[in-house]
Amino acid sequence: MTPGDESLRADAIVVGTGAGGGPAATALAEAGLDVLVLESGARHETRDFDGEPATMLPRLMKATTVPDSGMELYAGACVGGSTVVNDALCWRPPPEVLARWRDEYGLRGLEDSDFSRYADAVWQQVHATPTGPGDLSRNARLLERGAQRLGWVGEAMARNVRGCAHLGLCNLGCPTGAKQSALLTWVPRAERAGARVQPRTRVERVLVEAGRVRGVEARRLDAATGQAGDLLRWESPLVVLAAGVLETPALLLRSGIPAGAGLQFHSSVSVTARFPERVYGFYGPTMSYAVTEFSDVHGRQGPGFMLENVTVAPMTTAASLPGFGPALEHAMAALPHLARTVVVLRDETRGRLTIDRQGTAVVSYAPVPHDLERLRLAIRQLARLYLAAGAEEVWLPIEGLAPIRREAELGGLDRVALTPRDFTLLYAVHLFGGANMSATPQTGACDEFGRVWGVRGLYVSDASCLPSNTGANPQITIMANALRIADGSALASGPRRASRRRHSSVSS
Amino acid sequence: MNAGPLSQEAVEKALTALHRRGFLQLAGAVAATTLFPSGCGAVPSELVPPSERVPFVLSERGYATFQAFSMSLVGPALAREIRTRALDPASAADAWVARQPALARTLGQGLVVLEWGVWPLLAKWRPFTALGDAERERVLARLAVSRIELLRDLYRGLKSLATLAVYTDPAARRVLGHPGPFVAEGIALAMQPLPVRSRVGGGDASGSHE
Repeated sequence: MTPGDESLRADAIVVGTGAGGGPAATALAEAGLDVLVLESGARHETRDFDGEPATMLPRLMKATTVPDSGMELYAGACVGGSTVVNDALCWRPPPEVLARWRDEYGLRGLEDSDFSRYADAVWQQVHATPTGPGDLSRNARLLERGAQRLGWVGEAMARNVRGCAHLGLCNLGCPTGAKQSALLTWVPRAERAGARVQPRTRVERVLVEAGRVRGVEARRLDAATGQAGDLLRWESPLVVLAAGVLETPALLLRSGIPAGAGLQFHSSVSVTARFPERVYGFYGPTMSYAVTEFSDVHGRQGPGFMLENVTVAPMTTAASLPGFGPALEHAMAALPHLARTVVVLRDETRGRLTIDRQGTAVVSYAPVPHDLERLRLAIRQLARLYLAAGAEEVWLPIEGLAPIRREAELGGLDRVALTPRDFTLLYAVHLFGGANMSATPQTGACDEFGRVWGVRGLYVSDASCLPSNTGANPQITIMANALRIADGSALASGPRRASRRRHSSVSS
Repeated sequence: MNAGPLSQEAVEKALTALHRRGFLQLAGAVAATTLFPSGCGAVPSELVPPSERVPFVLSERGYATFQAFSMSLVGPALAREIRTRALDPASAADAWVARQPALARTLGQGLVVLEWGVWPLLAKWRPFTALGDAERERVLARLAVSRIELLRDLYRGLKSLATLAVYTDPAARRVLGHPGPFVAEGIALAMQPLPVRSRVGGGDASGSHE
């Protein structure tokens, strides 16, 4: 393919194929536009998912670490994006969060009823399904049991699956195709509507002339070496950015467009407990039950964290345990008897994304003391819960702390002068902001319809345009917002194209 | 290749130069090589890369240092697997490094610090690879809770890479009692209801051990 080739032009270009890009590409293609979808990651199909972390992790994920806190950030890096490596959890957009976006951020158009329409369409498309008792693993049931004994509120979380085989591999690429990721839902649907998906294509820059988007510059990445090829120029009057929070703001910055402010995460740490019975926590849905007692969304008014059971995969379990040598060996030798739960904290911290001289994203995010104290509280409550559930030993995710066997031993947790580097593994997989929707150009990167301020035809549709974190696993919210934005951008793309609309993404 | 120890000054320089962002990226993305090439003179043979596995990017000394760190990290049972080469975390790490060359320099610097750093920087007077098990554990114990952020970063970064390299290996799963993916009996057990137990906390009292 050479510059000038007809296929280097499109009615619309969507950058990214995950929760933000998949729905956008679908809506635009079904509106009758000729859509080109560019994805820097490779395309792997269900048959390629072998369940082995050593092969799957480098193929499907990318990670980075925040310099000022040591926090680790993870995201998908393949066609389907993070939906391929997430845990299939589905929460509707929290009404409190939508209200906050309207009231505090001035996004008047984000009405709950309007958003619900898109969330309904997403819910149906990804086959979000209630998780019944038969889908709760022992790992999940131990969390449930502890919550019940303490009188705490919790629930099984809906998951976007069809015929889950309980392999415990949701986050390594579901090998049976049960998980309804964007790879199996939005991307094929967009392709059926005519969208062209180009994997291994990294967008370097958005082209802007006289306040209007003209297309993008991108490079193909060699399948074997990952080396970038020649610079290619794709032309389009409509560009939708959905490359994820670690890339969309960087792409804007590389294009000379202000972005990067307002990053916000759900910080996570995990607590591990040993039980007398076999748990086999490395099998079963990787996550399925949540203690919502401490949440501050969906009607709860707690301090702002959820406790969600998580797979006892050997690598992540070992990384989150404190200690080394015989101590680590002692804990890992009990692997079949371990249960594990992750804290999902609705951070108050705000961070920033900048780019270095090579144009690579650099994240700055230093958890504020209030967030650290809430993490301490969450760890304490989780330890109490596991002890109530009958745990014989509980490991807290703080280097230097010995495992505890009774509540009285939690004093060590209180004595730690907690900094981000004291955690064995402090990480985030729910990333938001960096190209926020805002009421004015001074306070964000785009308006409430995802339109980048000052650049006609340029939109943002992924989690980077959300003005804050959501307090719950966000894929449904991200997808619903992407559909909403794409519907608007399709309509705005002109009467000729609008007249070619075949059917609405919302109604199907 | 140079097999001699680096001066303390050079080690401190390496630590100072340890590019924080790059090294921290290591903890997440995990990868790298070394700019401080040195051979494996005086290194125990169990730590030397086997002739059929020439590292892509790690130096021989870097390989040996990482292997020694991994053995200390995972404890005696898995260390035996490393000693017999049933597990080879340094080769696995080397392969990761080869995929992410941007981080190679940082890991190399970190391994130089671990290998050649001495008191008061690290709790030792000899190369890390020359220490006995108990001495290596003392070094790790100090690193893990060091007041110097960079040293804690060093520990965390190497721990991330070593856990990745060791615990994703099917050979480690066998030692840990993990039947492996796709084992129907194991999946069935994981989805069974919990046994009924008669009292709260502190272990089983109902004879429900399986």
